[in-house]
Amino acid sequence: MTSGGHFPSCDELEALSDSGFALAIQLLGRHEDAADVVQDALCKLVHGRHYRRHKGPARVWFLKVVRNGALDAVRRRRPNDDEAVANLPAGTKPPDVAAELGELTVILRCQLESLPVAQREIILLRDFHDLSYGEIAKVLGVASGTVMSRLHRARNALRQRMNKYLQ
Amino acid sequence: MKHSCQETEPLISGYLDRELTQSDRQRVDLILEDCDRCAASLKQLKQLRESVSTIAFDQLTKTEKDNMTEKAKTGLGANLGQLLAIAGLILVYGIGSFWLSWELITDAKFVETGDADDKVPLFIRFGIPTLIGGVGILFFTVLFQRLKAAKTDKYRDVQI
Repeated sequence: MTSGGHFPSCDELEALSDSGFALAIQLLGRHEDAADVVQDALCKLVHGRHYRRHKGPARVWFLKVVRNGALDAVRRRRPNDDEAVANLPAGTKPPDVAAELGELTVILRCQLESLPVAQREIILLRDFHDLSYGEIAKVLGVASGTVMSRLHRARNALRQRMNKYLQ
Repeated sequence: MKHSCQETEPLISGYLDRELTQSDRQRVDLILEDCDRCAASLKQLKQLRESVSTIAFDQLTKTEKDNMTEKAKTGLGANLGQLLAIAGLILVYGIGSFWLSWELITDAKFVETGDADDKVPLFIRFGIPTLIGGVGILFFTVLFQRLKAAKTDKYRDVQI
């Protein structure tokens, strides 16, 4: 894995773009918005002095920049409204429609998108992006000791919404 | 083993993610052997985690990725060019205006030749360097204000 401070190769940049885009689309929902956020993050990586000072995996730094960029993008959509971050766009299919389709992952995606962003992002960082608790703390800018309880609250909220679909 | 399911719950997440200390892990192992509710909770969380990891989200195409990488690298060249141009301008204009001011204040040509025609009037000798200094101070003050605003203005990207 690429470490901070070393300039990534083209393949590594592509892998970072994939990873960053996955997080951005999960938070923003729109392809164009997510691509813009990733483009900005790539420019910051290539030009920025912050990355050169970063120690640890480049992916963690990149996901942090993408996450902050995505939250800024949401705030720009609805200026002066902090609630905008807490109420990100819901999924394209309502859970009932997805339930009719009978696909657990479709239902799960809808329910996940209906969670507040703080809960959604911590679940995705752990379960989709496979970051450790220490890495999640760095991306979210929180104390590492709080990650386990935050994550558990988020998972509980998701589990309650998914209760009738789980065995 | 005596325990409170409510207090054990957060530990189950840590257990699932292999983020517990060895002693906590052993404790949870014992609880899971005894408590059906905690064992069911672990099973559900595990199922959720596996399902989340398999959700298919929209992806970037190869062309989009290539364009992004290219754009980021092109930007690097443009930035470097901009930096060199600014450094060059500061050197040329900075040194040029300092040299001109020095020549005027010391009235260098008149001192060198002693010819009365080369004598520069007093208001020009001190007026032009004052003007250059004033414009320079004004330029840098506005530049710093703009740079500061560009970094901190939260409304800069708002489209009206």
